[in-house]
Amino acid sequence: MSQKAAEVAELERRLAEAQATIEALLSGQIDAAFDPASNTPILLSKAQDALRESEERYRRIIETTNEGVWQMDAGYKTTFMNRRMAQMLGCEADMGIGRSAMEFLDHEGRATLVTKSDDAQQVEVRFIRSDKTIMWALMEATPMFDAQGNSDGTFAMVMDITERKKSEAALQASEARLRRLWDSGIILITVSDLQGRIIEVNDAALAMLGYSRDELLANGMSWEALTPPESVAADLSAREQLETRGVTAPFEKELLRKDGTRTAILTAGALLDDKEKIVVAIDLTTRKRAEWALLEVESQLRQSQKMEAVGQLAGGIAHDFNNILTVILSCGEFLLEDLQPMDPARADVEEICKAGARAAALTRQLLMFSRQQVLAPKVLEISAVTADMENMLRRVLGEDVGLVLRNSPHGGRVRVDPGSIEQVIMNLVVNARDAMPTGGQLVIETANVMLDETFVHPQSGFTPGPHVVLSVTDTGTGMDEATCARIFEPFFTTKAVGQGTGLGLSTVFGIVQQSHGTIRVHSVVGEGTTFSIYLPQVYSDAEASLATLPRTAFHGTETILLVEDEEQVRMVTRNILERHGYRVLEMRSPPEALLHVQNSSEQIDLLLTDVVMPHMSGPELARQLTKIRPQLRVLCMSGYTDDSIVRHGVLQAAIAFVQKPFTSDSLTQKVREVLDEEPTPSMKQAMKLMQDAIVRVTSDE
Amino acid sequence: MAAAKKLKYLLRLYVAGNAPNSVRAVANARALCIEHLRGEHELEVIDLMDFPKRALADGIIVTPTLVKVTPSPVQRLIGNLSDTEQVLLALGLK
Repeated sequence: MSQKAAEVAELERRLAEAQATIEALLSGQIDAAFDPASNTPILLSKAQDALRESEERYRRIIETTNEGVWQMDAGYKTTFMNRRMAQMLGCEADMGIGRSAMEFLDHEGRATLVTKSDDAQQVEVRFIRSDKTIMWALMEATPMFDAQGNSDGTFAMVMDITERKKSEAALQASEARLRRLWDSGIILITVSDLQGRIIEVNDAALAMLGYSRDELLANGMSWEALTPPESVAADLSAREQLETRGVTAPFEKELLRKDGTRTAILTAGALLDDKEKIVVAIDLTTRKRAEWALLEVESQLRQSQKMEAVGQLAGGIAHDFNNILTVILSCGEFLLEDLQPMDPARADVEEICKAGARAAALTRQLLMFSRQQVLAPKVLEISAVTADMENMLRRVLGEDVGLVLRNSPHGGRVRVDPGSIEQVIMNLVVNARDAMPTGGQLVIETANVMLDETFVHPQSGFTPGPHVVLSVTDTGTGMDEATCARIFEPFFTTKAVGQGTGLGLSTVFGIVQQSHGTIRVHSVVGEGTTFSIYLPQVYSDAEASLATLPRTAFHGTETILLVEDEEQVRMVTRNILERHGYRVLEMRSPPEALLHVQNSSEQIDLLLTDVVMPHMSGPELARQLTKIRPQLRVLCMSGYTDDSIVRHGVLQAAIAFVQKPFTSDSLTQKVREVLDEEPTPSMKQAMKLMQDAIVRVTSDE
Repeated sequence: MAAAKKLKYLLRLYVAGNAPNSVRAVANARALCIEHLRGEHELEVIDLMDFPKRALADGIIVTPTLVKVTPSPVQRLIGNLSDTEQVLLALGLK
């Protein structure tokens, strides 16, 4: 190509380029043109529009963002704040511009703002709103620099975190509350993994369990290790509840302490998440102790009620037996009197009488147990009784058992039937001897003690105050709890068949109860047993024992009015009296007796009457008859002496009383005694008292 | 560079910041290279707002301008490169 042709081609190319440039300009495809003189780009209007658009975009972002945008110069003068920032501060955006940034911050916030830093820093600061309320904010402050690198102010992004701070504070308060609960010592709290290994534990739990925190946590101690075998089933059920419902119902169990002792707790658990569970528990030791004490007292009460019921039953049977035995014994005696000394039937009759006497003794014991035996209490010192019995007791005990008597030097006095207390001591000593088949030591001790309400259940009829305690301690085989609970029951015996009646301790129990005392037994298997009898102390002088009347035949010729509703007993009684020379007027009931006396003027010296009869009681009959015949003597007889009669002291006083079954000796002795004694002024009063007692008995029935 | 010598097309695109035609031209040029040059190219984007001296040196009067440096002949395209047919024709790809 020639040079000229090349120049033309170049011109055409430039022209085409110029054309293309013009077309592009016309179609708006050009952003900028370059001025070759100044060498600077000149933005075309559309480009400027675009820049404005761009700026508008950024402005929109800044104005709609939920964060505050805040700009200040090097002197902390606000040069810009977005709407959100103004809103957070409670002012108009324009009003904020020009104000010192310090106005919007609290003391600490200002200090933070003036802390020089070349980098952006994120800080939590407190703003003071225009209404003076506080706004917590997270502020990211970026220092700005001019072209020369000098500080040109600060650009800050501000986020309102007041609500977050409030919830944080609430959370902290809630955590503090839980922490207080955790530290309070009220409840045991543990956190464990799902396998039961304890991860965290509070001090209350440590105190309850007796372990240190390290011992529990470092060794990966589990609930299983703290649970005694008896509580495992409860734990398993609780685990099932946890798995199905995420929480357990509260349940009681025991925990094993480090020292091996147990603590009763009320506990419940809940899953915390899928890895941990929390278990809380309350110590029930104090409540359990109270419950056990209550159970003990209730058991005492049940025991005394049971004994009462058994006593009533025994007394009722004894009453009927006494009537029958009166007939058997009396008829036996008549036969013996009538039979020739060499009569071959005599031995048989004697056997009948002996058996009857044994049955009478047994019935008497039953009555003693049921507290229906007529006691004649005297004021005496028990130590004197034990001292008197010492020789006899040594003989009973034999050579292998040592006897030690320990008496309090100022032994208090009690009011008991001397014969009965001797029987109590003898029964206890015989039992003690039998409990020491290979020998041992028996200690009989008396001492004065003061007993309060806590000693026995108030309903047992026991009165607190000064008491004398008689204790009998052996070093024998001892008894287990089950045996101890039953030893006072009639016919309960641990001895071989035929070796004991099972009435020994029942008799003791009855006598002690009737003497207003109480009895306790303490026994350890293999070590021995102590029976302690507590009798109320009295302060009157000891009484001398009554001289026993000489045992002779008591004959007489006086007229006796016999009132008895049981036909056999009446016949036997009449027979006895007539055999001893008396004249007997036999009546089947009180009304019949009353009618006879009213319609007759014959001399009657003695009224011998049963106590409990239909229509009218013996004492009431006596009262009415003594109105008509003031000189009439009265003798009551009964196989059924209720406790209420005895308690009122009537039977030991002026009204004479004979206990069924009687022998002809005991009856005629008593008859003679009553006929021979001088009438006393208290007789009428005693009659009235007895009448009252009888009314009570019959109304109880 | 040995690798650079293998490249068939060397293209330079002169733009003015984020001005709309410049942004569009960059997007169009890149799309075209991917679709029609299959990597056998080098596209150099020169922002004349940052490097205004390059305008004089390279004889650029307006932006956006695309210059095909190689293969020769050197060719210039003015505008935002949205007419793909025209661009392919100018670059000798059609």
